[in-house]
Amino acid sequence: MRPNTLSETYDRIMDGETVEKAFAEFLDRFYALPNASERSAALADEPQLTADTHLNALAGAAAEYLAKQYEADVPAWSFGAGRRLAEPWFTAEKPGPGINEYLWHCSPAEFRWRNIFTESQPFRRASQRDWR
Amino acid sequence: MAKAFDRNELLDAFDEIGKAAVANETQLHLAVYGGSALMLASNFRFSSEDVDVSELPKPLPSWLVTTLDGIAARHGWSLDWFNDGVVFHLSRTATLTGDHLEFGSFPRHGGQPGLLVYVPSAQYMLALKLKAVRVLDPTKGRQESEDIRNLLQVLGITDPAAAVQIMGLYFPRSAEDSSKQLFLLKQIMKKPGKLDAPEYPVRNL
Repeated sequence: MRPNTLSETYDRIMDGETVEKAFAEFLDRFYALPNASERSAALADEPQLTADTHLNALAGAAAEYLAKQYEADVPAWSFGAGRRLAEPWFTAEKPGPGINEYLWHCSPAEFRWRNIFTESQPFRRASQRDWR
Repeated sequence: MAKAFDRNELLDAFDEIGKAAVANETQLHLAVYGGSALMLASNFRFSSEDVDVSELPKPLPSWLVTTLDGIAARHGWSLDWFNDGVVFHLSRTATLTGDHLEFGSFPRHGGQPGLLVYVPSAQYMLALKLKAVRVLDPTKGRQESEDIRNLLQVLGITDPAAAVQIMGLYFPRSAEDSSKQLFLLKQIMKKPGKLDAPEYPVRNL
């Protein structure tokens, strides 16, 4: 079964699941939730902190971004210590001046203030109907 | 940990759906997309979390609901493991015969086939990947880049403009404004693929 919460997603990652697969399954679950209260519940519990600072900041960005996009409550833990990077992380395979500048401009605010620079519509899934 | 899809388990599930279709005196023709299609037909993807298929009959016939739910329960898969949510993102110009390849008929071991499974052609798969262009996503960007690199290699494409031209065959409006794809393709092509010889069928299997 898919993970029901973002916190459970991180438990699975810590158990050895790949980040890509754990997130994909959580997102499919999240996008199918019928209302704001269930979406808020899926984001409410704080995921455990890992040894990977990128992953820790990504959890905060994911929670804030998904909550704002889908009218859920932004959990307070997403603003906590460890949910922001000291150094910029550009989510390109091969960061460089051109691609970094592109990411700098298109990254959503919920990622940018955490020093994560990514695409303009992260976490897109086929199960999500509101992107083209 | 969640139970992962395994290629053999998926083929067994197709066998079961095929048998149920025969028992109910019908035959399903379905195309499979995304990670599942790559897992079935390529040598560069080994897992996927659900099966994205072409449009299913609505409402789902009761025999199919029973079969899918039974498979999900036995394997610990989500109830919507077999779904047509991807239909919204498909090309309106692609056809089953012209832009898909027959992957196989199920059940596999003789008898009347109840399920025929198709996968998108390498060109169509590349077009779908380029339209979505999720190569910068923080969680799946690297895998998306690698999938695109492999498909480009299978098709013998070394020029970003040629890749965009293929996208235009299926998604003409997206190709009209393809500066993002061109820019990102140049980035993708800077890095060599992980496989010397990625495989994906270019004609019927």
